[in-house]
Amino acid sequence: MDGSAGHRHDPDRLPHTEQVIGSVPHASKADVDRAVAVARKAFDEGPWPRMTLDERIAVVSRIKDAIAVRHEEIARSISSQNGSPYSWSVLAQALGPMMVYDAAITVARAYPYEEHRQGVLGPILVRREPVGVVAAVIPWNVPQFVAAAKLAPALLTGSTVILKPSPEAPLDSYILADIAREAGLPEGVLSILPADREVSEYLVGHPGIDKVSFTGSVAAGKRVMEVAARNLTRVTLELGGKSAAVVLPDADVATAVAGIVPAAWMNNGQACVAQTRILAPAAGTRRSPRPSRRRPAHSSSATPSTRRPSSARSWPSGSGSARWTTSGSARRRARRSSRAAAARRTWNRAGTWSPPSSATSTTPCGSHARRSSARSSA
Amino acid sequence: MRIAREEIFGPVVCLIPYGDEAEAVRVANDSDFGLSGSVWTADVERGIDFARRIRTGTFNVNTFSLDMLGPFGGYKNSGLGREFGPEGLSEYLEHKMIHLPAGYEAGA
Repeated sequence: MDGSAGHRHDPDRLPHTEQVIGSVPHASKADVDRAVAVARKAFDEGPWPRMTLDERIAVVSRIKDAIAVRHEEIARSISSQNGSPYSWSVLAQALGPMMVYDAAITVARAYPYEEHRQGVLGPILVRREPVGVVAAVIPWNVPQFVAAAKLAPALLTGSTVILKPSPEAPLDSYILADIAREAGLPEGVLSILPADREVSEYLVGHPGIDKVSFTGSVAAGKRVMEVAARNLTRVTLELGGKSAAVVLPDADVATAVAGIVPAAWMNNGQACVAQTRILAPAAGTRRSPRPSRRRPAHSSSATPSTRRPSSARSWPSGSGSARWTTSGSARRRARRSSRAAAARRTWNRAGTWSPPSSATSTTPCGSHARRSSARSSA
Repeated sequence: MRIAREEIFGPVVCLIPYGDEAEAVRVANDSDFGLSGSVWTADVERGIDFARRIRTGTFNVNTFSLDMLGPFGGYKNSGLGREFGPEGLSEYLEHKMIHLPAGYEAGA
């Protein structure tokens, strides 16, 4: 999308200091109409779905190779937007996507697109054909990883894509746009549109879209499904989690702690798969993991790119809304819990730093955690 | 307790004591979510047996990973459909059945 006049521009802020580092135009509904029209044309009439699989693999491989070349730039861009430590961004946002593209190519090569079967009534041929125009809606916590998870399979099948990054982390998608253009994706096969919630809903509900692939919160995922249902648009939803890490009585505690701590706090807990409920035998609770004893080493002036990975125990939260949810709920809930290790009071003035904290219940959470109208915060 | 039920999306963990293994399974499953989980044990077979009783789309025994050649996604409120692996590629494909005349043989 061009950044021409007439678009609403929102500032993009450095999460550590709230300093403005860029300004991003938000797509309008007219931009969505244009993007859908070109994606539709590229799918219905263009070369992309009509190429051989090998030709599409060659283009997707060039995207992967360019990510390898530009991995430092991508990692820096993402860290400056969502506050992830640079080391994490290199791993999760450059090496991770490269693995995703590679694995998708392996899968696409082996996939049975046509299969002859002897049916009950006679012979049949089962074909798997590209779904069409895909709206890929991605979050701010691991934008390039999730973009790859959607783009790689969609492109390899011959579908065309409109990628909608989060307003909190749109800048790295401009690098991806450059990469895709240079890799030789035909006109209209990939459009990238940062958009706010209203315009995103318009995209998801657009009758020209065949499929929505969404990663984000449960609440937003339910809304996506509701809006998509109007046109029976297909959906894939990858939403939140509250995953349990269960330490059995025979486990080696040191090994379990070494495995669970990074799985609980990766990306400052801003990961759908984070292991955030740690279940330990009551008999051994005294020896069970107590991550809050690890003192978060940080200062409010540090930025992720200047911090050594080993000291990166406390990172800024990536989105303004998540900051408030985390800080408010963590403090409130830690106070309420029966034997709480209350969150440390290390919030910086901008309120963007969230220190690691843990809460221990003397009664099993199961007795409190029956299904109810639980909502998801992010 | 809400802190043990809701996704905080920040550096907050909840430590929960359990009595026996059956209770651990019950508490682990007592969630609106079903995305991931892990079990830590000296006996990998016991860990696999534990994994069979958990209602989540991914699980880990004595490790923590996210493999791109298998299906990734959630049970319950954690999502719909899968990413990665052949299952994930299928999400971008429509199935079409073409009926052929009796006696037709492929490649004949």
